Amino acid sequence: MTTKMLDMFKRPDDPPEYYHLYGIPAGTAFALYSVGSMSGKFPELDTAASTLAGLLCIGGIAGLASQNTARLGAVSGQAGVALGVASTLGHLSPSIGTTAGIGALMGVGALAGHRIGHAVEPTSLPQTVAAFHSLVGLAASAAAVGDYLNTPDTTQLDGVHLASIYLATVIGSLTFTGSLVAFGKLDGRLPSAPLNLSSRDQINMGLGAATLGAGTFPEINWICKHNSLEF
Amino acid sequence: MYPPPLPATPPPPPAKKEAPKDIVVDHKAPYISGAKQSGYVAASILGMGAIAPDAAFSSMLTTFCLSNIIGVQVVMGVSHALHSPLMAVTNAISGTTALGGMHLFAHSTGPFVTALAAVATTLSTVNIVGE
Repeated sequence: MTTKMLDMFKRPDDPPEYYHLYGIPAGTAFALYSVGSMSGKFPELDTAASTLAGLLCIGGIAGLASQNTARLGAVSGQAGVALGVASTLGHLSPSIGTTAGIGALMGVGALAGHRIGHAVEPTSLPQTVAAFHSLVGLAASAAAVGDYLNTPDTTQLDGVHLASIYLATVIGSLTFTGSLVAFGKLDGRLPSAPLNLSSRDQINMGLGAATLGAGTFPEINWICKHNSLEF
Repeated sequence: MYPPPLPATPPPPPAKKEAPKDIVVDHKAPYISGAKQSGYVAASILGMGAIAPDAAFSSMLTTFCLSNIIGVQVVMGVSHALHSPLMAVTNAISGTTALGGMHLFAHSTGPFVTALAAVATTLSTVNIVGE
């Protein structure tokens, strides 16, 4: 969809572009990483690949700061995300069944994303971005909740892990609902005036306190377990 | 005589001149506020280092701070026309939550967790490919 938006800026006298030539170094990097990872002789290759993926993503965002590097930025971002996915798969080294499962899930997601991205009109791109962003918020909080449920003994989690689970759940859920509201307002389904309930301050403060309070439950559990207190 | 002469109008009153107000420029204020802010930032980062439990926390703190700086620098000064494509690309990059979903899928110990991991992976891939 990014390329769709950037194509709106194309002028008829623009010089021809050969961005597919960037596929050669990208493919080479993939091939080198796959061979090196599967040979098993390079234990730190996964970290290097993820660093490269991070650099490509940052370069992608930086490229979109100006018009003449915008398309290069889009290509770089795509390469970065793809390499990130590949490096995680290499690091996990999942079994055949798990790999097939992951492949099927990503295939379904890719198909849905491709269909929606193609069907969207250029004038409704901002609200589509907002709708997509709500999905990623839901995904983040689902992953965090799943991580918490997956640990057999949650009192063994250290503070950093607990804090990251809490933050991911809160920020992910906030993103999910907030982006859905943004989508509604951008699309015209919701009125664009802010919802001015008379007790909105108290409602917001109450919800904020409840969010902070809910985060203390695992901490209290942890503190009690580690100090041998029983609830 | 035609036309008759106009009656004598009194001359317009002179415009009231206010004494120009002296604009007081406090040259010291931005330096003082800048020094205060730098002090807060330095103290907070050193404080995080003091309460850090292990090396993993310190390296994560470094990554976090550096990525904050990179993000601010990289996105500052983007032209208005490129705001929507920039949002689309950052949305695609935030599909990296698929990595968390894949990790959870590979290490899951129950059907509910597998379902959550599947949801996370699929929705994040929608983001990656859709943008």
